[in-house]
Amino acid sequence: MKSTTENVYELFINTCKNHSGRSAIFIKDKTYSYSEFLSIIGGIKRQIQKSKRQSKMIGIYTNESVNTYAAMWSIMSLGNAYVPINKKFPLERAAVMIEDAGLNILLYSEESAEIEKLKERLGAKIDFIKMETITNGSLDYSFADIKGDDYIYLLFTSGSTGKPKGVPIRHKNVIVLIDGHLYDPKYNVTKEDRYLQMFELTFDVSVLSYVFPLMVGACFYVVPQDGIMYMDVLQILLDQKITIAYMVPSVINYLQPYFSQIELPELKCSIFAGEALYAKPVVEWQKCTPNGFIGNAYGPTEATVIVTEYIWDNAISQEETYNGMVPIGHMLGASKSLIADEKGKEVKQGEKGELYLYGPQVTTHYWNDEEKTKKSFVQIEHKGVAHHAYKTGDLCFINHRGNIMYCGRIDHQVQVNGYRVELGEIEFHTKKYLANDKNLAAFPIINAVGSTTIYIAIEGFDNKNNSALLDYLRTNLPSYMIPAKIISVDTLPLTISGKTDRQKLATSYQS
Amino acid sequence: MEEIITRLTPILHRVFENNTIVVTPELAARDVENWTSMTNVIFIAEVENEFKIKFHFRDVMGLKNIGDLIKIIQKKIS
Repeated sequence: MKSTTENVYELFINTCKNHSGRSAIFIKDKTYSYSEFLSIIGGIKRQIQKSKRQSKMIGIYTNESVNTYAAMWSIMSLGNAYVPINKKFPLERAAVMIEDAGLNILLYSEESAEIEKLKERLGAKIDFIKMETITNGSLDYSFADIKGDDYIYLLFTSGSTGKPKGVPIRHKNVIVLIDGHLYDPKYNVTKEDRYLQMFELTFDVSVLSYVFPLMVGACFYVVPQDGIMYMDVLQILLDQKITIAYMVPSVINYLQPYFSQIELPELKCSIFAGEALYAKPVVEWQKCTPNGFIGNAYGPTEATVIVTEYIWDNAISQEETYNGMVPIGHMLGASKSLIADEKGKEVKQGEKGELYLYGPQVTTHYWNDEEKTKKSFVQIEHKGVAHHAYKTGDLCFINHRGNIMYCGRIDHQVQVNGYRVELGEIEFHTKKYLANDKNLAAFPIINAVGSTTIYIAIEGFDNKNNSALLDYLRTNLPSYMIPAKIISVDTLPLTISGKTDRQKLATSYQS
Repeated sequence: MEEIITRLTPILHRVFENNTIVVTPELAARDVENWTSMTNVIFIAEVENEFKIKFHFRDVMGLKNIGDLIKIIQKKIS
């Protein structure tokens, strides 16, 4: 099945027309039907239209509210792109993103100390609009003349030089994702499906959870963000009889002690994304979800959420793991890949190389960053044809079954609870705090449940200053980037070539 | 209850690396810095080890504060 338009909002409006009485979103113990949701969208749209500011990008200060979700569609309906700003981000990080995105308008749901600080920091540059849930009973089906090339959202990812990178995605990129994944017959998605939405909205995998169901008349159920995540996810899976769940692997890593107690007969698809998926918990999770299949999906934000998938098969998948990791599988839909050596030459099957992605899901550039764009978006030649490609930095190979196997990173980027973390960004801010030439290195550690956490080793650091350093980092970095441990070392270990040996650090402190 | 609080206190101090935490029945996850999914897993495992009990996931899911935890511990050890 293929979409008949390159306008995601048009698909949403068609769903609203066909399924107006059905449930669209469940959030904070309340269900909203498609018509109620559309009514709220219309109210926020009218509020935005009253603003004297004009901006292609409109910010949303996200929190757990129906207004936040409605606002994304309100912005889309006007032909603008939404930029989610996480309320848990430190002030400076939020301000840098808002300024980098060129926002003139920021929507928010409730007054808070953080909003007051943002207003003080950004001043009159930004029109801060407090969203009111104004519904006048009428349903506004209208929308701007949206083309496939128009931007739909701008999300920021970690940047190794200390500044987050803005990734702009267009409507046509998302349409290709919908055609290649949502409409895949093996998922058999219908209006009766109940989707889990566990992701924070600045994490692009959330798009699968809150856009996909609204394309077919299904409903998504929002997991509370402020509790103990893995337990809240399980509660929603059970209480709401979820049928389709996109999750980060950390969820089942944390649920391992309870696998023998969990039964989820309604769950027909568990799709994991955002970080490496290990086979051991998958085998056990399959027993908890006897009527469903388990998938592993891969994709950087730059390639519109996911571009590969692998479906677990108890009979054969165990042989296909690499270092215990599940394959990332084959390319989805129209997306293509090339695994190449340092010279850009395609490697043979079984040989490791860097994964390049090309095709209609790959974005064209980083927002306002020509230098990083030139580094990561390159021209490649594959099968005699030139392509604009994204250089992922992921080390992969193709196995004997034609599945792509993920081996790790070429550089210093890790995934923590699904979030992309450039170790360089943590090091940048730590160096700023220290304001001296102390050598330091952030490195990943696999914790007791198999998820990744970050440690940082600093030469000659006095651990009495741990709290002060952590407090400083918290003013610049989101919580998932704060090191779990600060280690003082005499000297950092070095490789033969004289570079910091992060591998040795990780091995030394892995327990 | 006091005895259980006395035994829980060093666990909380150790897991959350904070000796200033005052353990009361009203204490909740949101009151403690660094109470995340990971530290929750470690904390629950240490409590199980300390009291020689095993929690069902519904026990853990329903916990709103230390007071709830104390009630479940009392039930399991009685």
